[in-house]
Amino acid sequence: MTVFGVGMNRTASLWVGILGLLAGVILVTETLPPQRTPPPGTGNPAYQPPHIQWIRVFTYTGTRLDIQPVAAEGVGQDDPGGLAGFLGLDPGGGEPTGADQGTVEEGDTPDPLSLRSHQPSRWKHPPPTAVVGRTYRADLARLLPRDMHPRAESEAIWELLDGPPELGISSHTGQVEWVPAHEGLRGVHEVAAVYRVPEGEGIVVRYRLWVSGGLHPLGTNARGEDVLRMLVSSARWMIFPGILGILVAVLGGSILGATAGFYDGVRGRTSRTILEVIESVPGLLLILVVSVATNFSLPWIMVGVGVALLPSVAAEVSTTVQGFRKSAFVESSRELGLTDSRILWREILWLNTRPILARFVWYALGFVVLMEVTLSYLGMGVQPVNYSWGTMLIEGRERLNYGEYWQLLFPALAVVSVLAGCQFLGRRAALAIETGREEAP
Amino acid sequence: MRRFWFYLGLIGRYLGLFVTVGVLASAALALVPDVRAPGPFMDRWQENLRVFLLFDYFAIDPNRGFSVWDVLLAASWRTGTLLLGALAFSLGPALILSLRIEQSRNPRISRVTAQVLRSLSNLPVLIWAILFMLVAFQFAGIVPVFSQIREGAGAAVAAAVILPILALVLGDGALGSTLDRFQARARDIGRSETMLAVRARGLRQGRFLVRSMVPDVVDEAASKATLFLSGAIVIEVIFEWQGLGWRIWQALGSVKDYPVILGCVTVVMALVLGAHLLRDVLRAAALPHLR
Repeated sequence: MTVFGVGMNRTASLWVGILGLLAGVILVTETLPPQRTPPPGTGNPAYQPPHIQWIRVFTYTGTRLDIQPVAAEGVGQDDPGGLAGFLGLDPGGGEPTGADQGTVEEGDTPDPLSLRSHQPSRWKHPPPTAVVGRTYRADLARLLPRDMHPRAESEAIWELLDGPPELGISSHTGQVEWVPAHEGLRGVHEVAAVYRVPEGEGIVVRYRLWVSGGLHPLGTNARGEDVLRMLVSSARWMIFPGILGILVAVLGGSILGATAGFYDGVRGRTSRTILEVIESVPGLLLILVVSVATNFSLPWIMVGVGVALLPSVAAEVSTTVQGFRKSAFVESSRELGLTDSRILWREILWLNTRPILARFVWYALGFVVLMEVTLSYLGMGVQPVNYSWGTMLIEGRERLNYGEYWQLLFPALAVVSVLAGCQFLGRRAALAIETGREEAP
Repeated sequence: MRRFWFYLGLIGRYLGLFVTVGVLASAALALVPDVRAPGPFMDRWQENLRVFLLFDYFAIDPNRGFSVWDVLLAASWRTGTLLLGALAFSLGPALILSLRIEQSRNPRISRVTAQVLRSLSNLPVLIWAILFMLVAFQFAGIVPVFSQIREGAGAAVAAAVILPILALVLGDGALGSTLDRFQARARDIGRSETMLAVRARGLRQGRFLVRSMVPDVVDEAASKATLFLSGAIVIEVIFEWQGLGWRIWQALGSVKDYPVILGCVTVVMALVLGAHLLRDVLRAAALPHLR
């Protein structure tokens, strides 16, 4: 089987299959309604988002909710051993296992000024999801870091201080119960709890609660959006505008390259000068100027990407055309009375350079993806209301400080795999061309 | 005299290219009206042309408090450092590995090293930069941004200097293509009749190999300068090197600073075309038949 000049074996078919599947899923997801959750606290004017004393806790694949306080007010210390403390709840009221018991030890207070000391558990605990519709329960005593107050474990009263009231957390005798009620809750919610002890002291602990709508194989972002869905859906910024870039690169490059390689007169000189002008500007700089000139319009930016690719396509085509220029079949075509343009466009370009252009289609696809990601990362491609792999990388880089590595890892892997796939298919195409030439009589 | 006209023609050609690209960039930047550049297209283009052709960068802008020239001067040396470092770190190892593979009796280690480097350099600059940033932060507690060079000490300074250069060298296939080219050229030279004669006379081969590869090194340096200047924009943004790329990125923010963008484009163009001109001059000097 041959696709775009590539002789397909099993691996290549797999790659083409993956790309096809991706395109199919994009088409499907495009038809679904947009899934955006308002930021936590919106809709409730009384809710003030907490300042730095946020707390992490998580979402992930839905088996366990872990609540891990990392800062508290009113106890005279920034980090009451919370980083090392690891408190567990089982969904549906299951009893926590022994491994989930708090591990705070006396005097175990990491230096709050050191960044590294805030991240010892970063890679150790995959964040679970609080799934809508399931019940989560925990003993109050286990939610409170033990060294906060000597009598906290036995006598503290848990009370919701602030946070979105619709969250649905309630406290009963000695237990917190939480049933994330509906889809609108998806996202991250900041909750502050006060623990009152008989002497009248209050200890405020802030928690970050994550709610998801179901299973998320690659996790969710800070707004509760599914990373897998975002990854797949973002491909639309690359594939459809990218085709425009590929067309400009391949069509423009073949026309300019063929003219530069075949003609010596004004036409040849003009093509060579145009290519020289484009080649003398660094690719990314050219694309940045185009993006400013077109007010960050993505189709035009992709045209700019295609223009930046012109010289490399044209150089290859030009070399091939020059090779054929003095060949016997061109001479005999002239003898038969064919015009120069017919010889160039049909006999040389159409019949002999298609395999080369097919290789460039794969190369250009990789380049387009890379440029889209780079520009979006620089804030000059897809703008923040929407998301793409580039904007996901920016967000992932920020969220990494909170231990949410999956938001960076999976977009980066997606970029690398697409580039590797394009390179692989490009190499296969080149190999197919070489083999075809060797086998030609 | 013919030589003089040849070099004059060469300089004229590159000057023409420089002006053409500058005029096109001035037109492109005038296409969209902005707070800083209101009015019809022709007025904006004329203003940009005045800035570009008359090199009107010395006037102190009251909004900025300093001239565009100051900005360019401060940014150019940072980008220049990045560029020179990347050239040294890519051409040097590639040349050494190619020569070792060609000369050594058992070049297995060099071959494997070259292959590993070639594979690594398939990743894009962006991914390398993010990866280095994360690794430095995660495992050494260092944020390798440019300010560390002034404020940091020891490993932080070294990381802030080396990691951006390494990311630039490894990214976008730069090192891989240089290795391919140098290896192929060293193989060709090693099998040439000249080298056969050198071996037959028992002379040191390295000297002849290096001398024969000088034109290729110069050629590769000029072509890689364009690639590195392109990658430097990403590197400077991520590692906060306040060079030309970072300046362009800043100037493209919410309020576009057109004189600074045009100035940076001009300097980058001058660097690229200067490298190409130098390459052509050196090649013409080394290979008289080209003249």
